[in-house]
Amino acid sequence: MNEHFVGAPMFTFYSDSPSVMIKLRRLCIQDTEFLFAFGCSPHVLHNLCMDLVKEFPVVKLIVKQIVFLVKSVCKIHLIQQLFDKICKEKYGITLVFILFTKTRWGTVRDAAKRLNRVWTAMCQLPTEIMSNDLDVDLPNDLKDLILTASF
Amino acid sequence: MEVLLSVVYSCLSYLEGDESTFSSVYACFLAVAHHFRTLPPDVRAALDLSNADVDKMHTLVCHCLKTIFLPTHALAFRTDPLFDDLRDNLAKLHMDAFLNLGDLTILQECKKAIKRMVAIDILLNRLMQSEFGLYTIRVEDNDDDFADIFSMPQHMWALADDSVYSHLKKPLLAIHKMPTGASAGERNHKSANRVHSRNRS
Repeated sequence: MNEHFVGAPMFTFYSDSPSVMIKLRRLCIQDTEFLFAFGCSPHVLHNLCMDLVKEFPVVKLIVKQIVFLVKSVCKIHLIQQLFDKICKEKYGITLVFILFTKTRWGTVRDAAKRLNRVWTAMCQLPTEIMSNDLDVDLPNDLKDLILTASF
Repeated sequence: MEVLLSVVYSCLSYLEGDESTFSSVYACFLAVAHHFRTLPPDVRAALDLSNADVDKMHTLVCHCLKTIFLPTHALAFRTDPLFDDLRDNLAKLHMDAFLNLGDLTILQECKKAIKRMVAIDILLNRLMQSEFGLYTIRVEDNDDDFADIFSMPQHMWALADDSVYSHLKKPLLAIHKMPTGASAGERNHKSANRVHSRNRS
């Protein structure tokens, strides 16, 4: 047995297809020629986060709200410009939103963290639009969410 | 939300790094399970999490680990002296059963891993099991081979006493050198300039 561990070559298999990797791992475990067949642990932790978002209604709702807020602000150019201006005044720099993407590790947490950081600027958006008399209407859903939600 | 996921993503960032050790996989999942169990009351209230939900989170952690788990993870975790205190503290805080993220207890998983390594060699199995037993009951004084917990486990096992751990040393050295995720392999391909090659396309 120890011969295996004296300068033993290690073979690793990679495929972009998750189903291929899962099947390969299963075959490796069944085959007694292989001592170990491991999986990618960071991937599993990412899957855990996705499961948390799926399984817990309040977490799911918060993620939905974050995505809605980020998309709503970014799709209207005037609101985006105004938001940048408020950020510059408040924090001295312009901050961009981070959009939650299922395939990017960490975007659930990062999106929430960034929204938490710019929340005071976000709350100021409706009053700034009123005071600047801009020719843009903040969608009612967005306005309600800004007034009721807290991040 | 940020508090809920902070530990998970800290573990994720650590595990995809070069410096992560194989033993830390099990430790990270334990840390995540502990984090879910000890969420601050205001976070639990904000996310509307009941005790049943926290139990469900623990089950999810176990389920996710099972998708990649082999007894070798438990063996690596048990033979890394860095995590001795973590194990004791978690056992005191929760219960001993909290440490068992697999189907069996950690020690049983370790024995299973050794059995798989030796295949049909009964004598070698007995020798390795007894050396593993010696490791678990070792006296942690300054002369201990594993006193410097800030070294990587593979380095400590490389310097371990041959007269005590002669059979266990080499397999454990190989196990502790294992990468924790696919990122290490991907980085290896990148540094060898084999991302887009005739063999890989």
